[in-house]
Amino acid sequence: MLINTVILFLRDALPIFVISIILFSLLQQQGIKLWWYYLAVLTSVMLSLTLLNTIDDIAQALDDTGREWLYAGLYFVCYFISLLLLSQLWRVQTPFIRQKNIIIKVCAVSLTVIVMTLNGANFLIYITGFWYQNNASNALMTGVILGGGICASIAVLLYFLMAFIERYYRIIRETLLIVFSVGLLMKATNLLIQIDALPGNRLLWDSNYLVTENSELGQLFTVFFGYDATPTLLQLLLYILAIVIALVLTFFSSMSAKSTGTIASHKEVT
Amino acid sequence: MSQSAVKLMQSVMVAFALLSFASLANRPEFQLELKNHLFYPAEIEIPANTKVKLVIYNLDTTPEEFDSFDLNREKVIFPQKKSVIFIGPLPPGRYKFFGEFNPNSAQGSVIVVPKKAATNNTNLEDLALIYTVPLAANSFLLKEVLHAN
Repeated sequence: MLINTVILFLRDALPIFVISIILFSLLQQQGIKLWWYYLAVLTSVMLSLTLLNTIDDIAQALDDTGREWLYAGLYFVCYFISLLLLSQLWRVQTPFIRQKNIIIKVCAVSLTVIVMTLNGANFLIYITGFWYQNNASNALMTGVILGGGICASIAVLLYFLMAFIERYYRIIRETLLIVFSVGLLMKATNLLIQIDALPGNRLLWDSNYLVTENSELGQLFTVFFGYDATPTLLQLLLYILAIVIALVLTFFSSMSAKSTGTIASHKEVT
Repeated sequence: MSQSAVKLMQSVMVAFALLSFASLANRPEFQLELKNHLFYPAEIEIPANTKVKLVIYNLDTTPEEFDSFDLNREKVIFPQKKSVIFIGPLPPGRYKFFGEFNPNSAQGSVIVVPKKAATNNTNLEDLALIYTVPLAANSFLLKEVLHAN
């Protein structure tokens, strides 16, 4: 029970820590203070509890596929929110800075709330289901503390790594957000394949012999960039397309920001 | 919202609707039960190269998560509820699954057998029935007992 709790906590909580650190870092660069995160956490806790109480009814909807549709739909939404966020991050500091910052904050809050609510509800299902079993509560509590400690350590390391790397390559943080959100898309496609809403006929390869998907490293890869040991052709194409779209958007946003910045500086000179 | 965005959303919805209709195609159905954190039957045979529908009943009072790295499937089954997943088409072989919340006890395998062997004396629907009818009967009996208590 203890080990299982730690593993499940890592699976469900690590994405929350990772997206939080990526967004902290990105918004800090824009000079946005941390209050948005408190709002996101508060909203997520309330929504997780609501989802926990309704998830079994949702799961029974649409011929027992309601949960998959809900989760997959929200993961797709996460990807589009990330695209919007990326397009706003590169906008040059203009008189519309306040409007820009509002969009960035709304995107950050929405992303955090969705990831935290879905993953939080997953873990709460496990915790509440076994809390009253004999001798389970101690093991559950110890598992949560251990898992929380591991996640916090990874988050702190990631934060300082990003702060260090940022001095040299700003694009690293944006890339992390892109691969994280594309990873969520992969989760969505897996859910849709599971309920036969997407074809899952041909597996391209099985890389479990290289990195087993259920190993610690596999879980870490899954969280960071949506690692799937047995992808289908459709999933691979979608993965590549989603990354290309996000990179092209980031590139054009940065180019447009540079040209706008140049025009603005010309106007100031004249 | 611009017209092009509305059109894009409509196209996406139509695409998903079409895919969903495709999924309504009849799939051979197999049933699995979870009782006292054990899967019944612990081994289930399905035909090779065929997508099948797996209906899992959780008769326990705690939730369970059907998990299989071999099958690339993961689904929570709530207490006293059923859940549906689709697996395959798969080549012959043994594919392990387990209950993520009770991995030590809840274990089982999907054994994929060549279609000819699976359909030697009977067709796919009969094969599914052979496996699932006794389970369904057990399920009804257990539900009645639970209900009576």
